[in-house]
Amino acid sequence: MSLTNRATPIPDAGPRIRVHGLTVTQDDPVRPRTLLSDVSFTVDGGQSLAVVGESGSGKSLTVRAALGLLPPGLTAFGEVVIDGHRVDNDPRTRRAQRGRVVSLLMQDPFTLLNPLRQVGKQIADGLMHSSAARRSAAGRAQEVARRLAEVGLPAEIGQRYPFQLSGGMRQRVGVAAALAGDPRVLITDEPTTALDVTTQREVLALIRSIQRERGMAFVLITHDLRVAFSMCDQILVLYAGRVMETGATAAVRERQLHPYTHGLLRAEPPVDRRLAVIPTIPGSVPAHDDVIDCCAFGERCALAQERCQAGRPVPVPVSPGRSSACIRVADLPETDSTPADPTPVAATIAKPGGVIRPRPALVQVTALRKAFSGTQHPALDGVDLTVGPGEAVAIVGESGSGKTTLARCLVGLERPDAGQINIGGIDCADYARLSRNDRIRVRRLTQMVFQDPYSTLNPVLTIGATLREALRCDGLPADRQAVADLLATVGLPAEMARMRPAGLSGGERQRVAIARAIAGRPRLLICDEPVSALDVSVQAQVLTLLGEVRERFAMAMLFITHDLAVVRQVADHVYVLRAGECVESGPTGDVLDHAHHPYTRKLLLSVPNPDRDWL
Amino acid sequence: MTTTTASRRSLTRHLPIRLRGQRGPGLAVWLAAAVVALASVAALCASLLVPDATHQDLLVGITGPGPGHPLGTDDLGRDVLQLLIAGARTAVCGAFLVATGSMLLGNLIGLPAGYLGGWVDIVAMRWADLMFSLPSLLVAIVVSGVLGGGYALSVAILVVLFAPGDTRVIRGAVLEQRTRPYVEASRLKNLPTWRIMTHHVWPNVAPVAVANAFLNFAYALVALASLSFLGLGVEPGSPDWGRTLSDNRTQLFTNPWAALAPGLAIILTAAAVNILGDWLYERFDARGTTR
Repeated sequence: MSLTNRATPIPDAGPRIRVHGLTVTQDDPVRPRTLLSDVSFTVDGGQSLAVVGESGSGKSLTVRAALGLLPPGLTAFGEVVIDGHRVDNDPRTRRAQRGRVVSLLMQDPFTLLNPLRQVGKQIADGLMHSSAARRSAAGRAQEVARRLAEVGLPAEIGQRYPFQLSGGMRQRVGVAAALAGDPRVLITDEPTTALDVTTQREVLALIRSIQRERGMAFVLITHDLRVAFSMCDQILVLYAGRVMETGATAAVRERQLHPYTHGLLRAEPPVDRRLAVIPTIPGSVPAHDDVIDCCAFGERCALAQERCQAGRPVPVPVSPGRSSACIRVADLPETDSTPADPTPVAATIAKPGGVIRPRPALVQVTALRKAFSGTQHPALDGVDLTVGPGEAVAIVGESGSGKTTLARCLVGLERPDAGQINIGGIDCADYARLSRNDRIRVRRLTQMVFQDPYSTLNPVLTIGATLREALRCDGLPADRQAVADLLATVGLPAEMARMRPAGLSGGERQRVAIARAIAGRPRLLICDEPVSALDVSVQAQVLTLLGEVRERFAMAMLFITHDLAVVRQVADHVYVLRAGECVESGPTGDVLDHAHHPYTRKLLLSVPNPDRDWL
Repeated sequence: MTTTTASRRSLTRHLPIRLRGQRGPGLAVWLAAAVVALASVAALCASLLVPDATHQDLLVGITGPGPGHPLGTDDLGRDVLQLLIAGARTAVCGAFLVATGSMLLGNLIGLPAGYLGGWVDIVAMRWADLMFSLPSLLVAIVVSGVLGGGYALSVAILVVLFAPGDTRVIRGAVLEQRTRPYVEASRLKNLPTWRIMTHHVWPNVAPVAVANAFLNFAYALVALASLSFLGLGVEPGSPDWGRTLSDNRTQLFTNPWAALAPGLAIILTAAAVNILGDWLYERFDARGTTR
């Protein structure tokens, strides 16, 4: 087969991967569905394309269909040409191309490597075509070392097993393995979503530099427009299984030609200033077939008109190299050159000498320690924390920093080894020793919102039953009206009380979880990464809601997060945690604008930034 | 138009999961349901359907399938089909009692063991280990042999022998649920522990418990039949699938239906109950896994 003949390289000009009219359907006998329709793109050698969209937009499906990796039950239609060969109807060529011509880097570094094999061997699997590797074990070892060096890892890592490596190192190994066959096309599916922010930046920079060095065609799937901007030359925005907008990065950054792209970019809160209102996109992503004969974004679009619902818009060229599926593209506001720019207000004013914090404190934590058996480092190593009444405090740090452990100690889900916790005048260091009355008092003072919206609600109980129980527990009447009021507080319709969690979207579930937590009007609401599992547009809605309830019920809020942009929007005071120690704390404006500790500065640099030079 | 698309979407969302494009039961499930239905009808109405199933007619003796006796008669001249129908009562009811009894016992022990942990868990699990280390059928044979046998005793012994398996299954399922945020949220609401266990955790492990009970039903059917086959279950001469199989095994080559029919009934019922249990589990569990 000519495609394996490396002596006659195909000239770099011309498309390395071309996808035309890609459509994916689910062949269910009861309810056949279309999941993706009419996606087309082309990537030349040395060029890069970002496929951007929220969950359910069909971005992973696009590359899986293009690579012939769809799960059973799904069928792809459309033309796929990779490296000059049409492969959509040629499974043999497609198989031969995998690894050598086109390679895929998966999302989750924790499962992409075989846990029972040394990582060097897993890289060597892809090297079998190279003559040096084929000839001898020594040659192979040398080649593996060279590949490891390319991704910035020392050669001895090759002897290790995946569980001995951190997430970032595993994803580097994943990159090395994906590149072992010297592919001409590299496709990455959210390669850094599971990683910490600082690691994300390093891995992204690594992938970009290798891609440029080798002149590969590169496709990046991401939900984050800011990452897409800093990584790729071209942008393709998907929504509900359709193309909304395409264009060169610089042009899209300059001006978005579809309200969805615009909204998506605005919904990412900036890290450098606090917004009076975080722009949100109302609603959530519909299924492809629910919006088959109208604009997919119409229901959520501020500019929607009668004619947007009249037919299904297709992407049409707007200017050279750009297309948009918005029929009102001519009416889009011109003046939106800065992506996130709704009435910036002065950030919390940093007063010299510190801000006077409300006294007496609602929560006072002193020298808290907690170690889990079987780990080397303590999860918390002497942390002090103060939360005043009505104050919004953020705890920020990466995974392993102890931020979640701190929150769980506060509510009594973990028992600290040492240190004091005082909540509302009650000593809560050991919940088991509290008297019954004290425990009830503390529980009514503090409630918690959890990270994962999909397991935060009991799947067998209706929303109404969950909320009724919450009201009863907090000693309140639990009638239909009370439940309806509670749902209204979090912006949900009263009819939702009859539904079970499975019928709700992630954002709706998180709203219900917030309603459950605030049912008894606690004075402190602890939010453990409440928005990190949500889509950008929904994240902004939930953040706004949290701000509203906090103001309305004068609650203090403790925000556990890894995202400094979120901290900037919600918190008055911030604590930066690293490996169980607080490295810096102070008023949000002070800490984020004049970070003293190098770790805080590193975190700040890691927040994706639509500027070209972020990486 | 906006309203129609909106209402269309919310309409499908309000439907119960099982109506939303899930496949109906397949042919195997229907067949299994039919077999289980037949066995249940036979078990419940045996005295009405075949009041004198054990009527002997030594003059008739062994006959092959033919008019009047669709499955023939055995060496005592008993009609094999009537024996089969009458035998369902002890075979199916006993297995049902064993499956339900061990499920109840397993839930009662497994739920607190998994949720509370600590010494409750240690005691429950060591008890289960001990029971597992015993060869169960042998224990059943010895105990019923010593205590004189009998149907009720066999059922009781099997309940005790099956319960550790249930306990472990329930405990495992509870351990998985215990750390979920919805359980922790209930703890933060100061709900009493027993209420969290019964109201929040148990409904989420119930599909596992029920599926396991169906599996146990099949095992119990076979185990009871084995005990009856060995003469430790039902009274000699009374109709029971295992007993009939045992009584007629000598005729396997001369009068095959007399021995094969009860054997097939055991196999078919056990398989049907398994298929049905699988299907029920998938159907009910879909509730929790659907995002």
